[in-house]
Amino acid sequence: MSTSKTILAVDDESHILHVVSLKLRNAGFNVITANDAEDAFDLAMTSGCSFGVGGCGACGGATIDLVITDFQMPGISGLELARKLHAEPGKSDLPVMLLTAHGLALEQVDLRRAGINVCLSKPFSPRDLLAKVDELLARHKRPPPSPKCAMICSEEVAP
Amino acid sequence: MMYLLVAAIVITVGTTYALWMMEQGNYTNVWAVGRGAILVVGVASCVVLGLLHLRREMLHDRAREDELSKLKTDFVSHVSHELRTPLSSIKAYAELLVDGEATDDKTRSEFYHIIQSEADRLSRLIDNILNISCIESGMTRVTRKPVALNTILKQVLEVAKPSAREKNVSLVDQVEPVFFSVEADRDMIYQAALNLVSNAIKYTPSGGTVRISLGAQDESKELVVQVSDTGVGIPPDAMKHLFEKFFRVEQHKSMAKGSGLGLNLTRQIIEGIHKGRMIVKSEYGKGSTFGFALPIAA
Repeated sequence: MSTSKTILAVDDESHILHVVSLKLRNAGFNVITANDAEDAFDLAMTSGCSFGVGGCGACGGATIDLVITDFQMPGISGLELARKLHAEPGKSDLPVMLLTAHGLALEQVDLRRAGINVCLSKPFSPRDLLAKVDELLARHKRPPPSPKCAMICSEEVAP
Repeated sequence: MMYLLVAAIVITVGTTYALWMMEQGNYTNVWAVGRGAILVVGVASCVVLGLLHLRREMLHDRAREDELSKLKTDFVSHVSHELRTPLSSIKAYAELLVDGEATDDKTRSEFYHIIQSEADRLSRLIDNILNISCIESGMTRVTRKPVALNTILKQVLEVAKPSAREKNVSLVDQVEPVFFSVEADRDMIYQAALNLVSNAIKYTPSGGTVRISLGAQDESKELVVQVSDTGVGIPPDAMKHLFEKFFRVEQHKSMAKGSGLGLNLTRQIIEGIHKGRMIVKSEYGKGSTFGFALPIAA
């Protein structure tokens, strides 16, 4: 099992996803990507079950340690994604960073309510992004695997 | 609302006069009291109606102002978002190149191309925003001259050829030689036609066809340019929003890049400046026809 942390990056602009994942991978992170918030939510929900359970096909991959999401995407927004994720058991303190071209138009209150830890405005500097990621991860401990997922896994291995 | 006010005044004056007449006929004091009461009611209703009228006008103005200011804010926030998006890519990829994070030639070359195409996207966007703003504020200089649409369409076809070839979409030239000309601004009509043709190419999958036609219609009163494609078509619920600024069909966003300003600009050019009309027909999943009709110069 790799000790590097896993980051989920979400953006409907493929160029942005590409550049974010390249920067973070170069810095030694695992990066998984999603083009919209629905996909991202599914990815986040099916990850984090690889703890000692062999052959758990439905939920492979490492626990997500941090989410970096765009705000305005087709379907649900980045804020909504953060709210949905934090409402899930075991994910209430999953750090979420918003990367948005709407920086000035967003209310601080809304960000706080949705549990957004850091908001970075586009155009952004990948260096700043990496610095913020490091800072945020240092502040947060790795969350325990979600009980819901663990339950699915144990059900699957039960005789 | 004003007529209610006048009516109230007329009724009050009329009643008062009638009562006064009655009083002249030597009736009792009751009439004097009644007359006074009616006068008071009449004046009060005049005042109330007048105030209501004023209040309604003020609310109406306020609502209109709010709506206008919301439209302006929406526009600014859209423009800012649309400008920031390509600029983000340019800035981020340039920084990665400067920091030497692109380790091989292939990646570096890919980054250069992304920067170039995002810079193109940004400048197209700025052109569109400026063109729309200039037209809307009446600052655009329109040079009207007799224009042969055949020539313009041939030029558009020539310019669109490379992108069609790249996508393996065949461009079919059905431009008939018409002898009529239209009184128009050459550059603007070129821009409008090019927008329609490049949209058609964008939203037609590989192997499809885009036809450009020109013909006289309506007993030779107008010239009609039509661009028909065998593309993805427009979902019925999106039809009424097609010309709104920044509107893009959700289902087709991933197919091509665009700001959602092209059709708005095209309509402003055709209908606003040239008093022509836009033509839109589409069958979802099968294809669309976009075009415009311009009055033939007398």
